[in-house]
Amino acid sequence: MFLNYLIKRLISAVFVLVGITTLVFLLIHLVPGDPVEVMLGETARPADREALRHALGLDLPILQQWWQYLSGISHFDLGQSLHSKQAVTALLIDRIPATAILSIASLFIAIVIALPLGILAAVYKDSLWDRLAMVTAMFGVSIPNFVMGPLLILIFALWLGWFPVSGKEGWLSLILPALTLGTALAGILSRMVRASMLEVLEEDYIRAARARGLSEYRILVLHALRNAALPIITILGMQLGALLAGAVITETIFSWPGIGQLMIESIQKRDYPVVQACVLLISVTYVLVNLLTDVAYTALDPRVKLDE
Amino acid sequence: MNRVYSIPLAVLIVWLMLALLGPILPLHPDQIELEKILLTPNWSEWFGHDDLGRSISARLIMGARTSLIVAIVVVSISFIVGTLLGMLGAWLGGLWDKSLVMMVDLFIAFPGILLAIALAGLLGPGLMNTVIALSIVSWVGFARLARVQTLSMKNRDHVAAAHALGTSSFLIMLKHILPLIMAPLIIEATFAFAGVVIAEAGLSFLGLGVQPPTASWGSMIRDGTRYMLVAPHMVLAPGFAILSLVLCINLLGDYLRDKLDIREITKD
Repeated sequence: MFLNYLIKRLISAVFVLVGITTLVFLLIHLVPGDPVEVMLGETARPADREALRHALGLDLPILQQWWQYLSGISHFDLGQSLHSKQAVTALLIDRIPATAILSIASLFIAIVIALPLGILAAVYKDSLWDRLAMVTAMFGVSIPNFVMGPLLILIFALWLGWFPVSGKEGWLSLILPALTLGTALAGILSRMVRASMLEVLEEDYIRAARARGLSEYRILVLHALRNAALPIITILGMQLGALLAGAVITETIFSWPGIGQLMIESIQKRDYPVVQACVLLISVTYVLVNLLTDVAYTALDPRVKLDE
Repeated sequence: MNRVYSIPLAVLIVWLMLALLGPILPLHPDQIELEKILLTPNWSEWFGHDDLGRSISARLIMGARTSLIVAIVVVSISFIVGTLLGMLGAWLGGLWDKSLVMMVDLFIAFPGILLAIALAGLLGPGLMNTVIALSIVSWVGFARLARVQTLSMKNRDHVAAAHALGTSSFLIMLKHILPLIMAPLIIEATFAFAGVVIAEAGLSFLGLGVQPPTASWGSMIRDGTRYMLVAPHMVLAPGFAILSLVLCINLLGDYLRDKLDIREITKD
């Protein structure tokens, strides 16, 4: 039963991955006019143009180009950077750790903020605490990271001087970008924590735990939170996409040397193979994480019906 | 209406009026005054001047115009295209529906505004390309919602009755299904609106949105980050402008959701 589900889920994920790759492949054909001319500029020699056109495979029929792109990816060949002439894969590998550290730190910050906020709001539903927590969450959701980032830089780096303004040197430089990226997620997450806690707190086993005279702490953490955790984790998986997309902007604000910064730099340099690769890497990561959370959810929660 | 929600509504209306009246008001958003470069807020100019000596309040108003025009156009296009495709998919079923679901799954697999950033980057900057890039990303939410809602309406008695009376499919969808699925779609539109405001500013912040000298809140912040120590008002003014608009739209969206009592569409 579970195996069937797993196979079905894997097959659909493969379809989505092929679809993503196709769309990313098509991106270069969206460049208005001749992409080769856009990349090299109008003054380029015709011979150079033909060389690039050939190197990118743009002189082939489109189906053949597509096939080349797919088969290249299947052995991690994403082409060559037009700017640095390095293999795109090597460029990406260089940048992955920075983005990974930033994402994990932001996720951590979001959870640390959202759990207490959401639980507080759920336990004291409709009280002043609930209102305050939800207003805070609403602010978190509504502040874009390109407003939050400069604001944090202004207060904590320029005025107070506690953290470096930008760059990646030591763990202190991680705090501000992670806070910027984490607060938006914390806003959404605390609303979700509140919602799932409210649902769980209505359940009979919570009333039973109360009747047994357990302490409020034990009831909340051991009984309620544990059962509310699964939906929260699924939401985290779904929000990872927003987090990764937000990282593109956040990394640009803080000159954080990750995939997002690479992507924006490459857009400015018209280094399209690298842009394509960045979009591909981020989207594939997102799809795989979602697949993983889905499968884990189904495996861990016996109440989830498989045939849905 | 709950009195608390009249505040966000009022703020939204003020921004809309300013955006609408912007061109008629005696504003000079592009006028460069060298003697006023980086001038901090004062009594005659509440929000100060920017790095070219331009009035920030005038640019805030023109920025609101950019922001709201993009948001209104993108949400309208996405609403119409998405709802139409979603309803058609659910109504026709079969291969149509399967291809729609595949398309929706594919577009949803791209996280957040990542695809919009890539599209805007490749299409090149400008108002038109911003609208195109954001519309390509935004129709999906409406399509998914309209499809699910239409599926649940398709087998209702009143639809069957209309069918039996010989009403055409087009009229059934227009008169007997669309009005019933409007509420969740409007709520989706509210949150999409806030999303597009943020996305437009985000694209301009990255230098991929509307181009200078056209004012955009995002590019104002981008310019301001270079002068943050001497002229923090260059970042603070557009920053709080975006926050006020987005916060108010989100609050109104929440209000509508509670009021119309719709669950199950709480995902972002």
